[in-house]
Amino acid sequence: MNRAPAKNWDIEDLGEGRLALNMGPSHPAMHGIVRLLVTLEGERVVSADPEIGYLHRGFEKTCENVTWNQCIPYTDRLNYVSPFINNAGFALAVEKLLGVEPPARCQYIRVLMSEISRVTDHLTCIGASAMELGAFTVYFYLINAREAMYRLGDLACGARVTPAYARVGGLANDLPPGFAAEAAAAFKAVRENLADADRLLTRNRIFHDRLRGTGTLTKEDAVAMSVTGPALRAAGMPFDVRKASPYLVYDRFDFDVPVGSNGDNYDRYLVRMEEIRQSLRIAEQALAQLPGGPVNHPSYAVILPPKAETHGCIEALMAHFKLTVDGVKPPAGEVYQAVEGANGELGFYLVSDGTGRPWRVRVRPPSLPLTAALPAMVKGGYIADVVATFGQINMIGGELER
Amino acid sequence: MPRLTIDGRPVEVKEGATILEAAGLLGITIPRFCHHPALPPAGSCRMCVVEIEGSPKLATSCSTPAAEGMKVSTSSPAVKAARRDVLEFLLLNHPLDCPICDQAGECSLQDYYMEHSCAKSRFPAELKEPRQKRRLIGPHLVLDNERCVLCTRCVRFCDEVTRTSELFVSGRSDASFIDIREGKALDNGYSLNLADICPVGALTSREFRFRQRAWFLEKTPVTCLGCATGCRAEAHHAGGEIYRMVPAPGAENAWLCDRGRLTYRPLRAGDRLKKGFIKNGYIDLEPAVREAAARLAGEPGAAVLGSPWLSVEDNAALAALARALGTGNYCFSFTAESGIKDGILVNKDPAPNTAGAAEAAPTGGLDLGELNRRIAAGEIKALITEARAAAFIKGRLPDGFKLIVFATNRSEIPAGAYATLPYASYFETPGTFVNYQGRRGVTGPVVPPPEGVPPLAETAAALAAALKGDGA
Amino acid sequence: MNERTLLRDNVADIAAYFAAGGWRPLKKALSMGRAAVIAEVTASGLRGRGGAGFPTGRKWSFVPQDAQGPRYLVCNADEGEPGAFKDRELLRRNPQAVLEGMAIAGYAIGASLGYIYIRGEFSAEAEFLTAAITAARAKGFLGANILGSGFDFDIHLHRGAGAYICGEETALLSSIEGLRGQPRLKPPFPAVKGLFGAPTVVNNAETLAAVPSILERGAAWYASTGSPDSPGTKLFCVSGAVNRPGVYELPLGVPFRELLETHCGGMKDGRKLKAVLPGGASSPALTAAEAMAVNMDYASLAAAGSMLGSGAVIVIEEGRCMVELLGVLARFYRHESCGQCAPCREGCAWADKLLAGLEAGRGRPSDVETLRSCAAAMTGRTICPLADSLALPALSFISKFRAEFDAHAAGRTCRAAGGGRLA
Repeated sequence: MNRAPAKNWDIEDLGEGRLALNMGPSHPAMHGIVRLLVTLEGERVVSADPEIGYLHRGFEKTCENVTWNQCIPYTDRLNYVSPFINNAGFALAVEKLLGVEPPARCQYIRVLMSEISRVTDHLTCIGASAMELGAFTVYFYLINAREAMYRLGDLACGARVTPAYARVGGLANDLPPGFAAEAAAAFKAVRENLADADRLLTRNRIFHDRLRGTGTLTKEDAVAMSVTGPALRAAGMPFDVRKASPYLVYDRFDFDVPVGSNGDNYDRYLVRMEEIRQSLRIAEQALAQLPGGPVNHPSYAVILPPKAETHGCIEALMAHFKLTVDGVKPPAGEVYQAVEGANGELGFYLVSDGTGRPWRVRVRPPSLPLTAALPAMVKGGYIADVVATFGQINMIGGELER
Repeated sequence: MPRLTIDGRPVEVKEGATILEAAGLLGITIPRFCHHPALPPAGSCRMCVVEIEGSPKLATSCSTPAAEGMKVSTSSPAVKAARRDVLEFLLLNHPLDCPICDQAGECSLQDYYMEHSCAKSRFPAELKEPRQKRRLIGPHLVLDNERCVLCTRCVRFCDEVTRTSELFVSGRSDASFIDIREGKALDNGYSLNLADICPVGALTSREFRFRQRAWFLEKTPVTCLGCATGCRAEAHHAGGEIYRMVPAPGAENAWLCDRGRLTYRPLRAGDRLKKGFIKNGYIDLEPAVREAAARLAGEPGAAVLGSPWLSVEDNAALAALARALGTGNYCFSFTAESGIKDGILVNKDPAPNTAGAAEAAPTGGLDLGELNRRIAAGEIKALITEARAAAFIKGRLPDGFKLIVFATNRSEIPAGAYATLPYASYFETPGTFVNYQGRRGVTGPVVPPPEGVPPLAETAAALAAALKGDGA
Repeated sequence: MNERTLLRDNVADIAAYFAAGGWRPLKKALSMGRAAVIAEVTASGLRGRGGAGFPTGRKWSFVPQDAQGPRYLVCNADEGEPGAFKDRELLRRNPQAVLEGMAIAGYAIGASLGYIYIRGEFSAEAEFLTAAITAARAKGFLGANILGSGFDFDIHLHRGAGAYICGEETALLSSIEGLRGQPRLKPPFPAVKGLFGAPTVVNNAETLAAVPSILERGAAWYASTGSPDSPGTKLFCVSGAVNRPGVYELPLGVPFRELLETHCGGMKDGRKLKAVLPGGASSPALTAAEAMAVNMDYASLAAAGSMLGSGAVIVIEEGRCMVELLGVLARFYRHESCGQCAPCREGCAWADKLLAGLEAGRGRPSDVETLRSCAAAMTGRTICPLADSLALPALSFISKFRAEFDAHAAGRTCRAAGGGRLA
């Protein structure tokens, strides 16, 4: 029988005392679905081989068969824990192809919702990571905080997890009245839950021992392996796309980018905790400075006209038809637009052939280099540390595999 | 052969060619409403204007001959502004009909507006002039005067192509409207071409009305099988159903006749045969085949008549059936006067494959006269053919004569037929046809046949096999 | 020298016309040969009097020498321009000159049949002309073998049916052919392919009426009259608030001031001059100052940004609302557009609607700019100049009297204040 060669070469040469252990794909700690083929010597990990692809759904190919705006709901399902960031990133990239900028109000709202998404992502990551180490209560506290954020997303666009909120040239709809008050209450709830979690975890002996010094990745290795996001900053490299190449209106806000030094799981945890506080800070500034005006670009060649115009003049009605049927048509060309996802640099490389459907959509998923770096992080550590490390790199299957 | 430059690119054209045609040779499509390549120019829509160096006014490229040394721009700021202005003028009174207009998705106003304008409206909708809508002006067309942009393609078509002049521009100024002359109806046999050439939804087809959106349609080239002319056409379909036929782009035939254009309609008609039909009762195909084979084997003088309405392949299958029957009573040669009979497209020979049918039996067999003589003399007691070809049997069928036909629709079944077998049409299965000029080509398939209806050749082979089983 | 060659006294009757030397020029022409006749008219510098001002002799020379089949000579007596009533006067007082001019022109281009296309509303003048033609025929000046020369020429009078657009030469030809009266694409020009597909020359009645005098007294004489770029006399018809409105035959180049003050007796009832349309309802307006500084000929008026056109001078007095006046013009052109070209058909109607709103005080502030851009979008973009005939005056009114338009856009209406229609 013709067998594919085992991917972990050490299996051929297991030798005395070595064990090949299959973690996943069906494993509570391999969330997002990843299979990790681990070779153990006793409890020490000799090598680890991640196998991905279990959640590949053909996002990039699908985008070639739909219009640019029809890609937006699919982007929800990339990093499904921080969907607003994906929406904004994709829309920004297409707008770059078109050479248009949406109105200021739209840009502020996109920042606001992106930061809300960053918070939901970090809350999920920390909560799940704590739960996998036995701290169940923390999980519920942080999921409770996440609920407040989901309710804000629901207010804005009608859905908690699949907002499809951005459009090329604007947004699906403006924020509802009263949103600012709801947001203030939600941020308060998040801060309370976060404070509780902090008290339970940060100086917790068990949590500390499980995370400190485990899953370490040096700054040099992190850079060499294209790791970005909290994992890179935890290793001491202060790189954040929002500061390095500001997009939307990030350059108008005061915020800090937390940077660690040890590159281990504990620093990653600390970085994320601080980033939540910074995200709330940005969100509050965005709400305070939110300008009035339209949220959508005025040109009928870019975005659907307002309904009153669509029903009131033939020009807007025709534009509505053509934009819906043919799609917005960026001129032929290619663009790369990066945003800071919750896990690092989320990039969209788009190629247009001048029609209403993309020629090629390529996502640079921040989870990919992280997952590729996982073996380096766990080699030489205990098997138990694999769980802690995998939790802290926050691999999200939807984004990793598209 | 004048040589000129368009948008900086050189091109050489035949004497008398227009700037618009010259641009077309360079792959530059100049927008237009009133121009149509098969109609005389009107020069009235002003959408095709171009800038000619040295000329103070913009010129209509559809009516201006290309001249040696001309330097033409199709994309200068003046030209772009002129296009935006023409669109604005045409949209002033245009109704908000897109949601109920069949033309949406293939409408010149929609397409040109997005490509050449996107300007905002400056005219309140409540001041739009109401005009007549939903006028049934013939068996096939609906006229909507509100949507009309008065390009006059329809008037020129009726004047120059069919020479029937039913349509004219009535009234003057912005009260002008397309009207039909008193006492006339738009039934000149080519009227559906107007639905094709109308650039907006003013003239639309009744058959197509509200049935499908243009952007869902797939397009498959076919040959029209309505007569021996064999016009090249295109069948537009979605979800396994054909919604309309149009002349194939770039075909020699700029038009289609109405009859030929609607030859797809029987496919989904209520009387479409999905089973056999024997003695006024439906019967499943398999027992129908057995019964038919039994009749053919049972009668000493069984005959096979080909059909100029069937493909080369299906005629060959019938010829193979004749061989399986072991009979010399077969005929595949038909004579028909051919040639265009109305000066446009319709052929004197109503059958599409008179030439191709003969290929099934180049030698041997009977001619129609002998076949008819033997039937009348009682030497042939059973015959299998295709429904329309049964008309070649002259006179009353003798008592007890077993006429077995292949038919697609019940309404095709000739009087006196004993058994009918269904078959897949040439929209549903491929077929080779040879037109009156000897041009041969394969047409179909476009959509799947109804469940359980095989191509004729398959049923003919089943008959031949059944005959072997019975021992002919 | 204010000698009148067109509006002469007492020449309406053919006997009087003949006694005054009429129909001799035709005889002279018949002996000159066609080419010489064309050369003479060309040398005279006579320009078309219908509005376009195209050199007449040159127009005749466009008929191909070797064209097979018939040729036609058409006299355009449609006179549809609002403000123009000169051809009517001419046809009443000197019809024989028109007929003789047609015969000479017909000879020059090789036509044996001429048409007079007369405005349908001129029923009295049509009867009069019919009688004049009959009289000329009776005397042998029209018909077969005229004056024994072997030249046949007869005239058919065709009455129009009330469409201004049929004053445009190709629409006129279509009307005669019984087709829908709408202009045709040019090229081909009528001189090559005109009436019934044959080479045709269309000339205005006043132009043709000038031809006999040119043949009689010579091109050099004619060229010495009027002004260098615009020789000859012109029928100016003046309407508006002047003491003596009417038709005046004066040399081209006469200063407007002289026309107004000397001949028309100045403004009526002490009113002040506000604006002038020097060439009829299709000419851009001149302010009072501009008008008083201009001479009435082709070049001078063109240099002043307007045009001589048909010579129908409309005098506008202070107190007359320019918005309302433009509304009158828009209503006219909207009604008369043939409807072929989108810019004219839709633009005239749009302008009419905008002006109706402005007149009634229902306008919006953006309407003036919309009107201006609508007019600009109509200019130079159509098969025939009807669209320009509305657009150019509109642009001039808005440019020179903007304040009035802006006031209307802000809600003013002149109707309540008693502003009236043009008489």
